Amino acid sequence: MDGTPGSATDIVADEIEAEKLESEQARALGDATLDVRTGRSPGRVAFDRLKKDKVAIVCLVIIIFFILLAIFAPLVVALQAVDPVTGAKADVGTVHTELIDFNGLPTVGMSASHWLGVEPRLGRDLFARFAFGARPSLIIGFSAAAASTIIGVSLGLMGGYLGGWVDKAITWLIDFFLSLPLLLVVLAVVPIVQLRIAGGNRLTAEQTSTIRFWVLIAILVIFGWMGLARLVRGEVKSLREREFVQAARAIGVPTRQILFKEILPNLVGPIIVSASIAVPTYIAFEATLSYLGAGLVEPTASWGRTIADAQNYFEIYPLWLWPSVIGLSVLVLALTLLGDSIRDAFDPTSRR
Amino acid sequence: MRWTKVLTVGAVASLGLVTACGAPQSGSNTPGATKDAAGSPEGATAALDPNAKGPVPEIDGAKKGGMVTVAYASTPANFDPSDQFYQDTAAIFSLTNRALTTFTLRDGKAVLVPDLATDLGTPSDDGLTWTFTLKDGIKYEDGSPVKAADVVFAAKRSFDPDLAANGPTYQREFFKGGADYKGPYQGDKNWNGVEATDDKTVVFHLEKKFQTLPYFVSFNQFTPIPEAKDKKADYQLHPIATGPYMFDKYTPGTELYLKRNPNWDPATDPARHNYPDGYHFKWGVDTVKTQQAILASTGDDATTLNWDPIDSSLAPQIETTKKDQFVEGPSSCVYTTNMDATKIKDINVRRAIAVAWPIDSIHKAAGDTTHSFAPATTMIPPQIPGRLDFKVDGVTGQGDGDPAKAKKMLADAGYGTDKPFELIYYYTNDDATAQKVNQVRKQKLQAAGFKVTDIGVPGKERRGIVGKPNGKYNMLQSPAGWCFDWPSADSIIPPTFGTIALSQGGTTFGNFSDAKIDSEIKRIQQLPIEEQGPEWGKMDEMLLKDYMLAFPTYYDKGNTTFGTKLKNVQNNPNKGNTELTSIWVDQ
Repeated sequence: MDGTPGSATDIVADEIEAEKLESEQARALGDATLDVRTGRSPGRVAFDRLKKDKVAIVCLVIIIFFILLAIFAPLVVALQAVDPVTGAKADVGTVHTELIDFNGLPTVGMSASHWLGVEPRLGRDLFARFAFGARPSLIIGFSAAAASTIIGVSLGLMGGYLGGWVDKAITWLIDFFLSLPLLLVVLAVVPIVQLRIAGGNRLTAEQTSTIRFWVLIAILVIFGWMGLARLVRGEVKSLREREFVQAARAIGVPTRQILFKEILPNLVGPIIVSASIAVPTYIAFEATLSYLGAGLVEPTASWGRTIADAQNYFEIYPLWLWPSVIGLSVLVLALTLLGDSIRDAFDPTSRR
Repeated sequence: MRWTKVLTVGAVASLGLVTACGAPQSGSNTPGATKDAAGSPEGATAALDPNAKGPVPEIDGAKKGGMVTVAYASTPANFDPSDQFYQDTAAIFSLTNRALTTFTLRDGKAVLVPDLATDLGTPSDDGLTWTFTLKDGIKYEDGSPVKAADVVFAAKRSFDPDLAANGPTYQREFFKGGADYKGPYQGDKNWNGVEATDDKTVVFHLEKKFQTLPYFVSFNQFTPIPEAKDKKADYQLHPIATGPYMFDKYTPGTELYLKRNPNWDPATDPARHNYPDGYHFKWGVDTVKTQQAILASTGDDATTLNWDPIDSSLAPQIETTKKDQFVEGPSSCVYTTNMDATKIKDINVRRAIAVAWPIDSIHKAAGDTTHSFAPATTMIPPQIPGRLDFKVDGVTGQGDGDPAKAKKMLADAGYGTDKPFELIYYYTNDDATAQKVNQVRKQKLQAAGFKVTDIGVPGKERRGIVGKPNGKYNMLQSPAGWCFDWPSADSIIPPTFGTIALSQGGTTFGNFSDAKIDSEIKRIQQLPIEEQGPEWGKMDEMLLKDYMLAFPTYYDKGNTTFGTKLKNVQNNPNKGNTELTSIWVDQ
């Protein structure tokens, strides 16, 4: 047992001091009453650092924009004007082949009633497809990230703290899932699971799409928890030998309490970082699977599907492809950069 | 003929799993048929020329040399001559293997000419025995002579339940003792429904008259196979060639190279040229990307052709700047919308479906262009002699359906918003285009007041489900269309309507059995061949007017997209496919 403070702790202490000095200097210029010197948690420190990170703020704005777009998609789409040809406002699902010529190309361009034009072949409103297409991406990204984080943290805590055969089993499980070729398994498993759930081949298009949606989340969770579990397990393994844990154990604090009150708060940093990087990964993966045909299906609007459909029309109708590609790239980039910033904010060794 | 394109179109459905069977009758073989053909509207029918002699006249300016690449979306299952009943393999075999007769193109019209035989066959007075005499000096690729016994062996082999499982079944119906014959390996080796009386004479003994036999013996099943060299299931790896080209390198499922056959004698062949040095077939390619590359024509793409329907995204190009790189023409196929009359019992509901059917929307969603289809109003395509040009109310082949009228028809039949009529069908859910087509079809039928239950299954599975008469659907079962085997309606109506067609175990138009339909088919089949044409035409109208078991939606068109260096590319109107035997490469 090493009783002396490690060098890492020193750096953390220095870092916090430096932070305080910085903020002090900043505040001294403005409001002198906010002289808070004591009791800032690592989370608080990270948050303060994050607030000053311009990239993080821009990314956050972009992400919030997409979230609002997804939540209020029906309202935003309803802002479009009534189409003079069809005599109705565009919505996400209704096909309007009367807006399509015999070679499958739209006869109308961008207009007040179709901000991004209409889809070749089917005549559905592309802005509606774009706005509604953000929904599955965000829902799948965030819910799968949340679920896989919970699973990863729980298994990591258990394995790291309990040790013994539990740890062996969990480590084996992690290795097993890591060794599966993800894309291959997913491409093979999605149709099989769908058939299993369907039972007797009596699925309409809408039901198929709903099933695919939940299967996708399940698969992303099942194949997404291992990294975090391994990280948490390693951290816990070292934390559990530390004095404060030893002390808690010595005075008879129940295991559950040790795990959640003593150990977990020390892991908030890595967990948030891992989760914030998982979200864009899952969003990109959903789009990839939909693109490959193993993800969402018609009639659900999805960026991945739109990209797959639109690529062959790129030369003659690029408008179909651009919004989804840009939307997906910008959202994933924003989430990734934000994840990076969060990591930097939590990482005491990083300096910008 | 089975339809390979349907695999790539995906949108529409699987096609007839019921194999065609004709049943024509008395009369003389040549003059009557020739006359019929001359009067046909698009001139696509096969006239007969029993006196055609090789070699074929040279094409002006044609040069020898070069390789032609043919890249397309579907993949042939095998190259066993006995097993072929597909458009694509028929085109490939037209380069390598010669049958007793064959089709050749003259001024864009198909003509049936003798190939290995000296004429188009001689029937006996009772029409139950046909004799074909082989030409002298025909050799296999290895230099050995072709004997009558080899043609007979091939004909017998076409009965083999394993080697010829996907082949046509006309031989079972018409050849004497063919109904339960199992071929030379599993059945009697000395079965004599077809026999060789000497080295040059092939004799067919028939159960009943088979006026269109000269057409049938142009099939791959009548290309000679030397018994001593037959490797059974492995024969498909290298079928022994008699045509201008032979197998060079064949990778099943991927590609095939053909090279020149040194033992082919052009003087004996009235149908084939051999300008290119060889052919390269590539299967399972992405249609749009291939067509894009061909239109750009850089490098090898300039000598590549593709016979899949032109993608609508490329239509603007082939209509303007790339006009010279595309040909279209009639095909032997008619697409239909099929209903199960045993489940949709009320004919007025079936009529309402026809009235509501959103033909234009479906074409648009499927990416069909006007280059790959023409509106259809009859089940018999225009190039068939005697075809009656009629219009039944609601079946226009055009427009986007009339939902208001359909709604009213349904209301008159007792179905309204409180009690909508439910349509149940299966669609392919592992193909993006099929999913889109389904969205359009579903919404438009719902707009006409139907309740729509669309059941999505993977394409492969769907083929099986919709091919069984007892499925849970009430429409869109197989066949989704029909391609005639020869230009006479006796290869269209008898195999697809009525009790006999149903008795083969598969699905039919309407899945419906009716005494009047049966007796009408029988009556027309008794007539002399020259009189049959118009009668089939009338029956076509009666079926649509009085029964409405299935309605035609469009006539398929053959499309070929080809590189700038390929010359004399033509559509074969009887196959709906590219005519490969007359192409040359401008190097």
